[in-house]
Amino acid sequence: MIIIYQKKFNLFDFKDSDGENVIQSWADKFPLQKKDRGRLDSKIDMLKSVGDNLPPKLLQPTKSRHIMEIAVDGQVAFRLMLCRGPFDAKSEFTFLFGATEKDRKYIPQDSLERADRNRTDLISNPSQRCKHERFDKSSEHSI
Amino acid sequence: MNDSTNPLNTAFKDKDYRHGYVDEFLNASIATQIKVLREQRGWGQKELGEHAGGMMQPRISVMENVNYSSWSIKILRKLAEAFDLTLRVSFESFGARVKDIEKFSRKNLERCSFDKDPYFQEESVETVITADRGKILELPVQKASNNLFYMKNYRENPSSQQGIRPPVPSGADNVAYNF
Repeated sequence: MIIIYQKKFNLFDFKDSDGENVIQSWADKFPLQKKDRGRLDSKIDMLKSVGDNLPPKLLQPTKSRHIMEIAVDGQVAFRLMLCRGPFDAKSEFTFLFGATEKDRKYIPQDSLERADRNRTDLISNPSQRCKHERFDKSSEHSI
Repeated sequence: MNDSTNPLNTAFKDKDYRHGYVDEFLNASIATQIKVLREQRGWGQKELGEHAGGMMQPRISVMENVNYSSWSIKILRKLAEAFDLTLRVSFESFGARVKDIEKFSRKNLERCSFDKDPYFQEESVETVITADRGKILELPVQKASNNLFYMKNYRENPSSQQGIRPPVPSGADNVAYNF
């Protein structure tokens, strides 16, 4: 008998020093439209179920060595910045900062530096993250 | 019956959300399947381009990207021919799409080209174990299943027509019927 075991990955959101989920507050303040939430959740669900090896270029590299991004292009180009781990690089990813891109420039412009800083903060204080919350607000589930 | 723990069941009630979600999934799954089929055949991107009527490697690279969305049926047909597969384009319900999402994996995206397609194989070999002597025989699938059918009926009802001892397949003289 062949047992196919599908590995699942753990996803987290960075919390700032006030305990606020920076990814969710970015999505709410923007605010992300329903279609964009669906697009982002689709890619994030894929990352959760199969990781980044199977779907080609699901995670795009950035100029920062530790930071990658999930890109969703529509009327607005969304860039969700994340890192592997940082505590278990084999089985987890942490979302660090949400941005948009226009004319090949991030908005806000220092998005990458802020993502990098959030990662550094998280490493020194591992409690500054929580389980990733879906962008779909009609569901109570987190993944 | 759907899985009530699947968050998509609730989320998909919103039309904009579900269309955004599946649009993105569709792009990602096409890109992923092109990569999976290429790797299944042991080809590089350049080789796939050559099989697809002279597409350049950078073009294959552009399509093997979950963020690519400018698919055309013409190009997908070309790729299908390169893989010796047929392209299926159909309109689907969201319920069917959720099942595709749940089953998304390398294994489920792989497809055999025509020369390895089990449907067109004349005979495939299956291993049959004789029950009384523990000997292992390799019989073609069709012959093996016929023999198992006869063996079962012969044991249950040796006098019936169906229980008539079947002809022994060539090379399998020691098949046991009394298991």
